[in-house]
Amino acid sequence: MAERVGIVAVAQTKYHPNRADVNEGELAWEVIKQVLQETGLTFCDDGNGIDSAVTCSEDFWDGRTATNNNVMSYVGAHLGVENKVTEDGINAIYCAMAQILSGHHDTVLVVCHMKESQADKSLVENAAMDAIFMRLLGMNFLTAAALQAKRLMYKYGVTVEQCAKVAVKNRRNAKNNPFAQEPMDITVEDVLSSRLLASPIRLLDTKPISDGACAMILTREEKARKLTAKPVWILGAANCYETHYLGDRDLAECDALVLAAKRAYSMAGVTNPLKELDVAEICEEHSYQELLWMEGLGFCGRGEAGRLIDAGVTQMGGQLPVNPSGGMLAGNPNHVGGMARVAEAVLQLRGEAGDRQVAGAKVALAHGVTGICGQHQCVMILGNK
Amino acid sequence: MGHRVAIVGVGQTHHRAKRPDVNMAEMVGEAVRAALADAQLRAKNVEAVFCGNMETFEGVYLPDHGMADEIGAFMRPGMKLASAGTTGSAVFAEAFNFVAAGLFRTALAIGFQKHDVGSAQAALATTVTPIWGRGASSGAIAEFAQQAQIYMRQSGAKEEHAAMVRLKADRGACRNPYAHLRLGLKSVDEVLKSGYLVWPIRLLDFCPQSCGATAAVIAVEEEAKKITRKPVWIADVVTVHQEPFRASSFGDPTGRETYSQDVAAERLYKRNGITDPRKDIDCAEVYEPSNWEEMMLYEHFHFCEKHKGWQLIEKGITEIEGEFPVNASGGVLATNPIGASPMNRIVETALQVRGDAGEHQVTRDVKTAVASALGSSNWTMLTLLKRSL
Amino acid sequence: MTMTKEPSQEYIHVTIDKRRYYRWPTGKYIGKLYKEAKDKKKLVTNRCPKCKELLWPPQAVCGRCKVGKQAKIGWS
Repeated sequence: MAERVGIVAVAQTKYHPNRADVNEGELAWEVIKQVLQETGLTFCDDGNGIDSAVTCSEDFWDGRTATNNNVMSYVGAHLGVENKVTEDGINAIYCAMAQILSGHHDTVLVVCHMKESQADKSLVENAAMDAIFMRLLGMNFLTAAALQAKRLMYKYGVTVEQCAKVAVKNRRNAKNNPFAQEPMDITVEDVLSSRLLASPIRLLDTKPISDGACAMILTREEKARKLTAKPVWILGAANCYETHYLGDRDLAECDALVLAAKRAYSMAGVTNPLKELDVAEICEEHSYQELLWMEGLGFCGRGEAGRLIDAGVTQMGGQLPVNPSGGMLAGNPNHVGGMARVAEAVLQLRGEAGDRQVAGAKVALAHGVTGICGQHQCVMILGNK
Repeated sequence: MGHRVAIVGVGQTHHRAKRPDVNMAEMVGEAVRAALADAQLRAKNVEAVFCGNMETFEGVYLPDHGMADEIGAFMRPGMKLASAGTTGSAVFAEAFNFVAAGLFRTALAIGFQKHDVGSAQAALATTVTPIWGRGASSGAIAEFAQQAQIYMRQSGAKEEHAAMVRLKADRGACRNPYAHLRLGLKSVDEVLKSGYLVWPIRLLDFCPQSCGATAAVIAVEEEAKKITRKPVWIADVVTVHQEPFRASSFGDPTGRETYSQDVAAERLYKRNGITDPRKDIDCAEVYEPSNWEEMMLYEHFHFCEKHKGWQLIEKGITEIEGEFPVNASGGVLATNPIGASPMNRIVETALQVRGDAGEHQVTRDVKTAVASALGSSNWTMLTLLKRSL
Repeated sequence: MTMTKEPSQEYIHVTIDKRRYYRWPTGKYIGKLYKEAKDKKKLVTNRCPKCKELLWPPQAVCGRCKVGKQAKIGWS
């Protein structure tokens, strides 16, 4: 397609462990309001307003069927278009991008909301497990992730210290992020002496329970240039599924991510990610995941991500800062995580990232993950030229 | 503008009340295999997989992950969508968007629901907001009863007309090997003998809950022409959601509400140059949770004038052999796996356009067909299919 | 042991009986409705400034007009 898709406005709530003051719709409204005000757009389909909405939320988390009803009034869907994606929010952005590139829609509002405080995380995630073989074991995403972490350490010699360094880096980065839930100054020793959740994952290795929402507006190139002086273009995007049963996978590998990244890079014309990307925002619910996903994204060879973090490549000021926002570790709800990564990448490319700004960022990567041990991965490459 | 996209293969399971012989993944796999076989493609030829259901019914979080291998999503792009009752159509619409955008050359759109797993009652009960009940998905019998009462009062339709609609649906279902309820109903009296659930909705007036899956393979123009000699072109998809009506869910006693069906039909017809629906369109598959709804949909979609929907069924116009056939497959009244029902409407219209509907192929030559979906608080989706664009 | 052919197949089912608990906050608007009802025995809701209709239940936006709080929806 000749015209690219641009992101013209983004908004996030400050992530919080328990937003008992709002229900899901009001939480989403906080961010929808902001992007509407920023762009001055209204909901109408005469070519001048927002003519479609893509929402992202999940029935199991909100505790009701058809959760798009929670945000229906707020996304202008009365006599309008709305659709719901049930993967991570970054896929909702991908969906909106397809809506625009197909020519079927012009300007799309994307919003994702999640209130982890409302549900029992463990029980919700347990419901994703195969009912016959895995669910009765009481597994949830944490225990599955622990298996993956152990496998990664066994196969490639990644150490708990290297994982802890990710936690230290990200939580410190979060101090510069006004939206972050748990910014902290901690050391590797703090992480390694924090409470063990599921060996080898410790409390400080893991993201906290979080409530939050994220919204953005996407439109086609010509219109994006009129709506904002700093549009951010989606240069490439792709997602991919992997197989389900943990036993069928080598958990130290992330084939779905490798394939998704390859496709996204090829769309964006990126051949050497470490050199060509200026900043990367990666979803890491647990610290080991940042290392594993970096390898899948091709920042280094297999088993070498530990060396990357040891050498400080991914620190602020390093060759490729990863998660200047603090990532998911600093507090993002499930499903919102990937979209928040895109929002942060957009802020970086607009030069609006404040104290966490990577100077002169021109090309950014955002990544989102859904499912057990990252069964579904999505990668997006963004640029501001 | 986007690429042209066509349906190149369709498949469905034999929809049943219970499918204890398969688990959810296998059931969906049946539909996927059928669709691929129909398109004469292999799973590796499909570039992306889109699926959807109403999540809470089976009690499985991220069901698309659990069945990733069976549906051909292994190492493939794709995602799951959900949109209450209109899910099947929403999945199809997004798959259409991705292929029209040039992001994929072929895609698989799947709708499924397995009602015998999990507690459908619990899931339906949570459709209403936890704090405040607003609107409901299909299955809210009292809401449809209210709608029927309003319709009877406003149009003069009688229970006999509703019974005629039910008979038509059953006749179609008996000629459709995939349909769920194939009762062999013989007469209006037989329908009128079935007991009331909530007046005037009888047991037979309402759709069942079926276990089933439906899949469609779509492809971009150059690929579609290579894959099949009978591509069914997707001319347009219109989505219209709406706020719940103030006084009821599916009917409007106040006369002040706007029906999403009216808005959707207007948009679709205007965008596609349709001025006389019964002439410009050859057949329709509408999503009718109750037989009364079907008569109302005739009016909303401008198949007849307002308040005259019951006349269409009385005169036999919407029969399979009729002048303007509607729901030749038996419709939702005969088969209702909620996640798949809208996709069923699309697949059935595609079969009609291809001339492959077998015993329930309509007499009229179908060059253009429309499929509708209904969900939640009276949302509507319309899909227009054509033999040639 | 020889397997005899059963005339009708018996299917094995696994039953999982697990409750999931949810904690739903009412939010600002419905919260106010409930509080007024509880404390003052009054039913209150707000009105959309554009279409002048009472919103029921009270909400931050009027979904039909797509009008939000910036237009100051008033309580009555």
